[in-house]
Amino acid sequence: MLTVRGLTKQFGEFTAVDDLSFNVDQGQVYGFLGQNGAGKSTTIRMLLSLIRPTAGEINFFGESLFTNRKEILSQIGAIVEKPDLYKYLSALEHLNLFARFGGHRPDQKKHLLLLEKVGLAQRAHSRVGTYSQGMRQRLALACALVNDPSLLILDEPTNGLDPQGIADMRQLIRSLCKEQGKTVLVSSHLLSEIEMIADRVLIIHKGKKVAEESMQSLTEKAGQLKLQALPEKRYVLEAYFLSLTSQ
Amino acid sequence: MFASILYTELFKIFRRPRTYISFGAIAVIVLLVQFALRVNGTEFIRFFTDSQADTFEIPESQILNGYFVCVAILHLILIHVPLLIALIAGDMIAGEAQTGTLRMLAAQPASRTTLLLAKFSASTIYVILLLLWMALFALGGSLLLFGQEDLVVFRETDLHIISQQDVIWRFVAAFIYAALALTMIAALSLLLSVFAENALGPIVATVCIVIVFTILQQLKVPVFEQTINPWSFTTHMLGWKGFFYVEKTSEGVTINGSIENPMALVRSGAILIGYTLLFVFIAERVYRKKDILC
Repeated sequence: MLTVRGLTKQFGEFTAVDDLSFNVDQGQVYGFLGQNGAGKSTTIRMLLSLIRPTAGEINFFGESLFTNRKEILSQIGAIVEKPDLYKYLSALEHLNLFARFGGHRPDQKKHLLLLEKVGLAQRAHSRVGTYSQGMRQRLALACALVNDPSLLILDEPTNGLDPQGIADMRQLIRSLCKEQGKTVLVSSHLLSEIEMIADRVLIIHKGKKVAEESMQSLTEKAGQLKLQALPEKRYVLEAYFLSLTSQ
Repeated sequence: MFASILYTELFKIFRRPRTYISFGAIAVIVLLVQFALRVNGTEFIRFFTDSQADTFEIPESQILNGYFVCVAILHLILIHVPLLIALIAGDMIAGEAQTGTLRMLAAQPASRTTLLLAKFSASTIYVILLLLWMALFALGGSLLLFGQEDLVVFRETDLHIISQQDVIWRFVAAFIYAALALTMIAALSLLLSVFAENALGPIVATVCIVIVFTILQQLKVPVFEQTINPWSFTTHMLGWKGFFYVEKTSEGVTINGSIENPMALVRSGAILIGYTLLFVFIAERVYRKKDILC
């Protein structure tokens, strides 16, 4: 579904992303991990054509992003970093707006159902300026879903959510993947969250790939790194991540 | 796709409370000028007629009519309207970059060129609606308050009397010309907006550029008159006045339907359109390749 080859981005002398290659298969929840400044957001911005790579190739659905941008982006929904929305518009107006941007006619019934799915139906007509950060995050997810994309790219989707919100988001991502066959690329600094939802993870450090593993293989590797004594499974990813990025 | 995005851009403009500040400001300024001329209009007209006392025999009460008041209002406020245009057009890209919504828009299937042209078109529609609003108050309101008579236009050493039957088309043409001039300002603001990540920058920069060129124009010194001013857009922004300067016969009688210097108007209009296209072209080139980092 997504193939990245030799992706590089330089800002002057600084190399933010260095020769990064990875594959995301259809129907996967693909975790994208890295410390602050590792190059996660830069990579996601290149995937969404917000910034131009210095080198490398990005192919979605077997087509190059650089030559088929419109067709590719019409099948992708995204949240990029902190979701900033129009404070003077309501949730429903946001969905209408993003539906139009995707080339679709707004469908109020469908949009209300979507808002119900993300827990915002009661506030569908309220201005976003009156929303909490968590509610904005939920609305951003609804905006990403409004055109029924086959691939979701979510950059820190649990930012600002309370524990219930995080659990709801986790549940929603899993159900989008399992029940609707969507593919999800999700970055987060909450390693335990990624561990609970991801089928496969990519870890980058200082712009370079340091690991790309299935969760199952990662658990086995963690064992080889003598981390098997950890008290609970949810710490495996954290321990593995730290062993790679602290070198 | 373009029509759909243009709709959303217009929707955003007119859902923002800030947009209506411009409409409110114009209504208030026009009403204040109308009130002032209603109360002290005679003194206002005497300011012009005193310098031409020898040649002037029309009663002041007759000069002070709706058409005259509208021309006076256009003289007073059209030079300040660029600020109101910059408030919207300067915010188009930089404002969205500042609030972070630009990256959500730029990650949509529509190309950046389509998005930029939709934003420019929305700014142009805003300019036209603002001018229609101004026309409603400045022309419609003044005609209601002051009635209709022939229009007297004062110039430095001359005056033009335009028959009331020959005046409406001149106002229509002047407002269309003003729309051209203000669309050029919108294009300038949009261009500056592409380089900024804070809405205030392009708004202030637009106003500063207009002020600098206006000062150069008002200095009237040869070094600028022969070099910059013939090509300065502020010189040509005021070209709308040309529609109220009429040709006269050798006996000094005004010729209905005439314009004193139509070629100058055409040239000024062409320069304004040229600047507009240039600004939009550069904005598109820059925005299309710009890394959206904010």
